Amino acid sequence: MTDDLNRDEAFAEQIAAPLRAEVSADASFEARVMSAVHAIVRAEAEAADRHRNRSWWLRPFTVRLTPVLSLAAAAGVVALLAVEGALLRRPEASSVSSARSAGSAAVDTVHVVRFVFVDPSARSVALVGTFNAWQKGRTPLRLTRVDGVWSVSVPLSVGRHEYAFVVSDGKTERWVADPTTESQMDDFGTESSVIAVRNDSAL
Amino acid sequence: MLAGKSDTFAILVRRYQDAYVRYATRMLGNRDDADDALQSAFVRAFRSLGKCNDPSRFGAWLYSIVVNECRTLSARRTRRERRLVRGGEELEQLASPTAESSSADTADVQHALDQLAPEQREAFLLKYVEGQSYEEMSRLVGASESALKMRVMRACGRLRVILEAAGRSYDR
Repeated sequence: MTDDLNRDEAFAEQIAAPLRAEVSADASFEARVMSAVHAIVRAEAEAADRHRNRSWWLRPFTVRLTPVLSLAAAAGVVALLAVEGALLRRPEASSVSSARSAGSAAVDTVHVVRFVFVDPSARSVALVGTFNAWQKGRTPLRLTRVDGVWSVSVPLSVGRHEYAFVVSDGKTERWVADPTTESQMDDFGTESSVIAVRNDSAL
Repeated sequence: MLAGKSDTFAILVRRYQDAYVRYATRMLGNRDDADDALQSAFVRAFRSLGKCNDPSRFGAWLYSIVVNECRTLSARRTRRERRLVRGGEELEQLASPTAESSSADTADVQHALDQLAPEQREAFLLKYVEGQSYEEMSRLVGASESALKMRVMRACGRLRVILEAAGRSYDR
């Protein structure tokens, strides 16, 4: 048995000897590895950017209109949606108000809040909340000209409103709370978001 | 998170790129596959830097990734066309340029190695070419020492049969 082992050992040493010659990496090896590494770093930075943008895009903001303009509110909403591509690129809040209502804004102002949701895989998105009795058919978001960006503008009264998005990929529906605003759990453990509309709301 | 680490990682690539080329080349039988496996191992290591608990043992940690990568690639490409054949041009390049007989030996032995099961080839190379102890091999491969001894013994037996059938003779 010991003889067998010694014989195997000698045989292994003999055939392994030529295999021990040093081998060096190809001259371009480091450059190729680092190219792949830099691609990973770039992809990670882009993903972080997307996450930051998504956080902002999900944030609702308020547009204030006076009753004088309320008849034109629908047209105004259409106009807002038409310029949405530009607005989405400007994180600062927008505020539209009439000079005629400046002195009585507390009693006259109508608030239009634009909700934006980003999900390239969504087939439909609906806004549900206390303002529409949580009925998902009442306030659908529309796909904007920007891929994956859904939007709807909703007139809201002054006060506190709870809301969430119902997102469908064509097969299943999921309930999504807005991660950028205050949220709360109902008795069944479902998370929804909260928006407070004030007379001075102009986020 | 990884952005600040890429410059430091370049230093590690420079330091370790030659350390495991020989093992990868012998395990996979050709430089192209060895390069692929090593590149993949380095990239995987970069992605998983957070899992390297002891930076002072980066080399050993990377070694285990290389071994794993080679094993995976080897199993996937066992029957591939690019596998070296006896006397192949690439094998000639692997051998020492100053020793013609050594070149022929390398080609013969590599050809025999290529016919082993990947786990036997891995065990043989780690033991007799890379000079690892069974304890080190066990940590690296994740198999018990007794299992590794068995793999080495079977590898030796099989290599002897293949090489003797090719006309080489060894002490019995």
